[in-house]
Amino acid sequence: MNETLIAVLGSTLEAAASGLFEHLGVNALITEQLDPVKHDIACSVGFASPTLRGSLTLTAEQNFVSACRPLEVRSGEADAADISDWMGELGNQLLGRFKNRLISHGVIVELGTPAVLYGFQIQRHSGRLPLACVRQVRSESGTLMIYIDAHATPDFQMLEPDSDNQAMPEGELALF
Amino acid sequence: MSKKVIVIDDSQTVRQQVGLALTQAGFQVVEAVDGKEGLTTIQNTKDAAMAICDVNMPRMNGLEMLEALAQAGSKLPVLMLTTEGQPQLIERAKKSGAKGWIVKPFKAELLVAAVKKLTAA
Repeated sequence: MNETLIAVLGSTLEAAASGLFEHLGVNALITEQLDPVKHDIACSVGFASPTLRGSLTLTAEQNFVSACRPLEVRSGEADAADISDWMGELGNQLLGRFKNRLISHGVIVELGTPAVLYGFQIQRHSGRLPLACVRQVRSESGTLMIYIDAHATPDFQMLEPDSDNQAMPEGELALF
Repeated sequence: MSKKVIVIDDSQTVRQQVGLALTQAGFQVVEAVDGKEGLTTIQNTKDAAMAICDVNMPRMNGLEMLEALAQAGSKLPVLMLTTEGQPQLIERAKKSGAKGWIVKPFKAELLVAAVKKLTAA
């Protein structure tokens, strides 16, 4: 995957993450500087198109996940099931935003459903191929890592953004 | 008597969020965890006023559920609530009889306004 494509995927991911955490009321810094982390929960969701396929993986401290649950449900103490459920939904909403931003570049992927894992000092191993993008999200409640693993076929194309080819924006309603 | 809304989403947090918004607005809520359970719940809840349904779910997704409902001749209004904003998916839902589409994350006021409009008849 070439550097231009990696840069576009990286900026697309940052825009998606920044919008999501802003909506959740989390004062988050999204950075390429990766401080060491001790994460105990992870989530992975796959995506695929005929020319691009890969996955989004999140790892985090449970405190981070608990603190960014929607305000309406945040009042009570979150148990493991609540945190696990929200970690999966975070992966789903972040990948959804990422996908929606790729549509204007002529890239349409289908999304899988999230798998959530618990562990101890969870680390994402990149394997033999380099990851397309890695970002760290820092808030007062801890950190979250975002990894995008993407592999493109030689005929994969990412077009200049087209304002006539946009996804429906987050938070909008259309009635038929 | 309060109107009954079926909320179909694989995330318990989202079901809780939607449920809180709707119960505070005077609606009664019945939950289902995926399209397959949603289909059964809709068929078994004859007095439901409408359903709210996610798209990406295990076992049966929301669009497959809509298509199954259309085949069964259901007239229950369905509002899609999803992270997806892809125009082709919205068109597919519309063709299968969906009455609306909201891209997550949602604002409670907007959701309640849409539900009131779709259950007004």
